[in-house]
Amino acid sequence: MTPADAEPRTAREWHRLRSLLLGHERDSLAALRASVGDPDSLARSVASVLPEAAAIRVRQDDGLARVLVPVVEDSLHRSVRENPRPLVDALYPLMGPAIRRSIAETLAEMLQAFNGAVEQSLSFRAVSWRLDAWRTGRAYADVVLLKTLVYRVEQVFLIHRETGLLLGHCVADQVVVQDPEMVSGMLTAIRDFIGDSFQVSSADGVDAIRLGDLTVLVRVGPQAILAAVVRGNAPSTLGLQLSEALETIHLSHAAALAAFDGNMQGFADLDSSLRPCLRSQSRAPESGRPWRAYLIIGALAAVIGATALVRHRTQTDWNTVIAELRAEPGLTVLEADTSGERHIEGLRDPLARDPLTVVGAEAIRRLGISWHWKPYLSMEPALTQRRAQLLLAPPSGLSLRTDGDVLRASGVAPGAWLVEARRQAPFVPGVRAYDDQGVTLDTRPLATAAVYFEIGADTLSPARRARLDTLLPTLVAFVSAAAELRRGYTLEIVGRADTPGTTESNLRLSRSRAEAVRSYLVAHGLPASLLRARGVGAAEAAAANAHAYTDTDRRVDFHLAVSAADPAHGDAA
Amino acid sequence: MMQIKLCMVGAFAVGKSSLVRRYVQSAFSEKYHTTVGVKIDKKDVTVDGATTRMMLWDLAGEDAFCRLQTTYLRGSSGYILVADGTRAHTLDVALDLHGRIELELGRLPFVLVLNKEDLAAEWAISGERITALETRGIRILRSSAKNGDGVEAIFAHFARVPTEACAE
Repeated sequence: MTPADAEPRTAREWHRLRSLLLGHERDSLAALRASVGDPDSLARSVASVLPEAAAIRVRQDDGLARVLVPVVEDSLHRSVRENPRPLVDALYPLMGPAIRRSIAETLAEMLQAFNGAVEQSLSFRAVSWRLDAWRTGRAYADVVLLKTLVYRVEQVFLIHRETGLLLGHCVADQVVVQDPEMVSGMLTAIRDFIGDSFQVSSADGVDAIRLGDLTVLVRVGPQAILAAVVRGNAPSTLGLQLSEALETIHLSHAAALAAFDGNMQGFADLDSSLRPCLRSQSRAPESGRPWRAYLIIGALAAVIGATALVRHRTQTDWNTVIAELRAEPGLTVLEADTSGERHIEGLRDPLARDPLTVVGAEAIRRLGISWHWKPYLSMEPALTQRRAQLLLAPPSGLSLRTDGDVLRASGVAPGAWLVEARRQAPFVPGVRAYDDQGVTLDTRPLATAAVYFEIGADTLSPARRARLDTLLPTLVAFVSAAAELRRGYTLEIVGRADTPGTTESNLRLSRSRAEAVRSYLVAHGLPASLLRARGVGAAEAAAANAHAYTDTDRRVDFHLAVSAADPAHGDAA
Repeated sequence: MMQIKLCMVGAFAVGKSSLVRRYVQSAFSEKYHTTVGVKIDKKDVTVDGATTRMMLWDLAGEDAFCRLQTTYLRGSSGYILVADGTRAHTLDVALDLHGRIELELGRLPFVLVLNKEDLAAEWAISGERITALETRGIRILRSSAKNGDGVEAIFAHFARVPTEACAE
């Protein structure tokens, strides 16, 4: 046996030995080797456990993620570079809300700051808006929005992006519209036209068409376009709402949109998505109560009330003035004219009070009264009394008053005045009768008129005559007045003696003294019938001075006496 | 209900607008042709009880100064090529347009309409040429906007089975 022979034999034996020892395991080993060596079968094996393997590895550490990051990044980059559309379409429903939320938060912060600034401002507009907010119970910011944003969404179109065919349409009440399908087509055509004419990328397209106060807001989705026709000043939130509505429709009608071939069946239920876009805001938020009307009515009522009050007060004042003038003695209102200017025609007694004093100058000026008074004589008692006062000029101590048409005098008065008054009183206008019964004759002139005698004398010495002569005018005037008054007045001439001497002699002496004076007066023309002489002796003197006497006790003095028997006593009309 | 977009294209003054004027609902004036280059009308066609609403995009006629904007044809279910039977070159223009549309948008159902059929005396397109076109699978309809002959048939063609023409 050569080594050369031995070698193959050994190999063969080893081979046999191996097959004897390993048997089946050898076959499966070969199958395993074949499967690992073949990429297809290896891929199949790995694929069957790949998710589980990945899950296990992810639980262990982040190695898998680290490896995948550059791969995913690279895939995304490549996808965007080659054809961004699928990625954009896939992310569209997610990106919009995410971006908006971020923007909304930023805006909310800004608005808050802005709101603060506005709240600090105190312009008239701000104050009136604040008042509105308080009145309507709205937040101030709401009121500001209401006042500044006024708009109405009149129509909403949902248009298939590729064909321009109308998928859905919604119109606000009382809005006159053109055929929406044709408008939809035309809108698409115009977007295409603008896009072609001005090189706008078709992904963005036209997002608003504005003409006067009409705006067509357009939001473009992957399959459909939402267009809102807005009259007025659309708020930015409307665009947001349109975007959201469009996204919702893309989600809810994804299949129908992707397979759209002109069949409208899949789009019958769009109204619920489109109708909320028909928003509107009016300029004048109506409050529950018509405050403005209340205010106007209130003001009107106040004006009417005030006018009526003024008119009523004026009328009352006018009536008062007339009444006061009528009540005033010596003034007679003949005519009170209120048709144009207030004018009074009347009569005025010269002794009446000034009418201006009666009613007050202020009332005359306020009411604008003019008047004209003609002079006349008033027979009213008050005026008659005033007139009598003026004409008769009564002395102090005497008062005159009217009692109806009777003028009554009372008090004390000199005889001469009484006589004169009796003569003049009937001529005072308004006086029918004059009564001076209440007047007593003023006897003061007699009080000092006395003639004194020496002791035992009863004749009129030259000195006593001279004394009597000086008294004579007083006595004459007194007696003549007494006679004139015919009240039964007499002049009593009283002779007196001093206490020495007997009562009888004193009585005699006093009588003769009185007689002597009476004779002298009669001799000087005084009517004897009105002179009565009597002596009283020393009785009064004795009573006055019990233990002494004076020279003045011997005298003759004068007193007024009333004779009850006088038939003329009483009224002396 | 079905809705489809149909375009009408052709040379200038072949009677496209006249063809549809009396037979469609219209909301816009002809001035759109000179401004936007397209005017949209609406036509409901009922065939076998099924109504198809056709949105007709009447594209401005092509001439030396105005090129057809093929953008307007996007999304269209088909188009109507209109030529004037009394002016032979309008057929050339129509076929040229057809070629450009196919190039840009791919194959779409279409019909070729030879208008002004009423002016038989002035007819300028030979029967041989028509036969040749028909041999190429082009569906040719004759119409007269003046007396209305053949107009309804054009729309009915698309209403019946929009994809039928494509199969040729």
